[in-house]
Amino acid sequence: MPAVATVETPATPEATRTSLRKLRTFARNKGALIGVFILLFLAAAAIFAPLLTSYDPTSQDLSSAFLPPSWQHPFGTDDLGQDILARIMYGGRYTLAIGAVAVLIAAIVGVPLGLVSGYAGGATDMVIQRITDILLSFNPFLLALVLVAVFGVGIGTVTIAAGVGVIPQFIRLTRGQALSLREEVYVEAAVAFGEGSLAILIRHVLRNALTPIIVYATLNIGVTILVAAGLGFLGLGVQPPTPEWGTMLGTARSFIFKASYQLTFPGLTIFLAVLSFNLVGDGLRDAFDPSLRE
Amino acid sequence: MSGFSSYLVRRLAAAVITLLGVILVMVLLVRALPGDAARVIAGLQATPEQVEQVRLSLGLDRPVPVQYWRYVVNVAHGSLGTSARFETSVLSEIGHRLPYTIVLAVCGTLFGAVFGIALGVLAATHKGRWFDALGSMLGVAGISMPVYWLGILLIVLFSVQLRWLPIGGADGLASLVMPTITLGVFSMAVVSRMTRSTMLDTLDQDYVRTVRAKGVAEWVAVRHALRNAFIPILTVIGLQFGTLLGGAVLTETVFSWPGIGQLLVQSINNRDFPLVQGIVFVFAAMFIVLNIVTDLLYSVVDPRVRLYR
Repeated sequence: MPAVATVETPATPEATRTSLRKLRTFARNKGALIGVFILLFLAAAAIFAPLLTSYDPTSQDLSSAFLPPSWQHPFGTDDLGQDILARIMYGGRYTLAIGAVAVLIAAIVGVPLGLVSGYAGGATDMVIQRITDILLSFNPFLLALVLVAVFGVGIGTVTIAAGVGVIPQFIRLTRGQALSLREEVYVEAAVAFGEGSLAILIRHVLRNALTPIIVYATLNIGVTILVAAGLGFLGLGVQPPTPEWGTMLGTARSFIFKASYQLTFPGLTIFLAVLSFNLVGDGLRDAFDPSLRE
Repeated sequence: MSGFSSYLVRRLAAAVITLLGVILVMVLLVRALPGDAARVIAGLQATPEQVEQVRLSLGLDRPVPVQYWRYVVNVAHGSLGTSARFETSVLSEIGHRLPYTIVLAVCGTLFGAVFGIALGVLAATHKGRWFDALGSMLGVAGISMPVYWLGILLIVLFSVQLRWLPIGGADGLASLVMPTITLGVFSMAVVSRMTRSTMLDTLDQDYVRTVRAKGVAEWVAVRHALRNAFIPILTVIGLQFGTLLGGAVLTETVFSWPGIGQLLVQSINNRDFPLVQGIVFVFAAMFIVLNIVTDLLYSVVDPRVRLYR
């Protein structure tokens, strides 16, 4: 059906002013700023790793294995003589990317399902809700564990496995948004103007649900990083010699008596990465969508 | 039928449907094993006869619907199949280990509830002061802490350096201390965040202001507020229990705690899929039952909450 006229979601100068005010609220949030700072720091270390360290993250040198932190090796070396600082910097390219891509996958699958579920209602809604219940009754980590057990360990499998667990979060969120937005006057107007369901879903419902989706995505990157690194810790994630942070922690665990310094830095980095996403997510939520507070 | 029992029947029916879905997912996943599933499960050293034995006992020679139906019928008869590795019943393997997981999960929940509520109340009553800031920091740090790293830090400090606590295993109360803290910190963080925000809401209510106006000690007013803030807090504690079960897998592995979480990781490494299926089923069932119990408790604590019309 050709659209006779389209109803645009309101975007007045006032709306622009509101967004600016929200941005200022975010910028005044100390926690959020600390989060942004840590995140930029970790991302820069990962991106510019070749410029920042002369060590190769995977070149082994058994003669310099188990060296405690020193000027040559600020974080020490591991059991194969690899420089731990270099491995952590390069490792960000894996752990951070896996976390972000996993959430992206979850959003790409979950958001359309949630929108359709909330907007269509009826039998479609019921089927999607039952699937959500089933996914929710596995917890994200358990689901990821079973998926890698079946499909094998590797960067691709680990990324997908970490993402599947947070799909239900996105379904629930967007379903709720679609349910409430369906009642809005401008959506009713669009229906009256004869706009198709798909156009309405994308143009109005999705556009307005975007803020909470971004908040949720940020908070869930923390979850997917924890899940992916947890798999690595159990030896069921990204495999050595790839310098994934959780995998490094899992390998170092065998040397807890001999070289506990090997366990300090990879764990601290995972913690800081998750912390930064949570701080930024909390800040975005408080500034842009306080209604999402539990 | 009264409103309550029809509500309960509906909830239980939904629970059964979800569990049927969980079984379906597990059956499909075993089918999706790359290569010959029976070969993978039987192991590399297995003779062709043993492989055929596994194929027959798991129903891998039949179409998926038949295999699925057989698993469901088995579950209905109280059987979760036979472990491929130990050649014993999955249910008895789980039965030996489950009590350890439950003890750990209950201790972790109690730890999280007690310290989380205390932190949250103190933060709410000291809003805007340094303790509140400290509480918020602890809260966000707690939800960001990888359980496996926290466990290792505790081991390095209390077992390796100070030699106060055993490094792992399940031998007396001392061995329960570090796993409880490791598992409980996440719940503590979530509960304290929730307690703070609900306490701030209730402390602002008229009846608390009235109590304060009567000139009673501050803790009396706080007690009044806490009683009413308790409902959302209870829900969060109930929901946390599910997350806790996931954390139990990692915590048990770090501390060699002989629960079903550790057994799950071992059976994944052994490619013992009948055991993996059984453990996942038990985890999912526990999660679903706990959700129902939490909702029921909710209505007990606050009679205004009506679960049914």
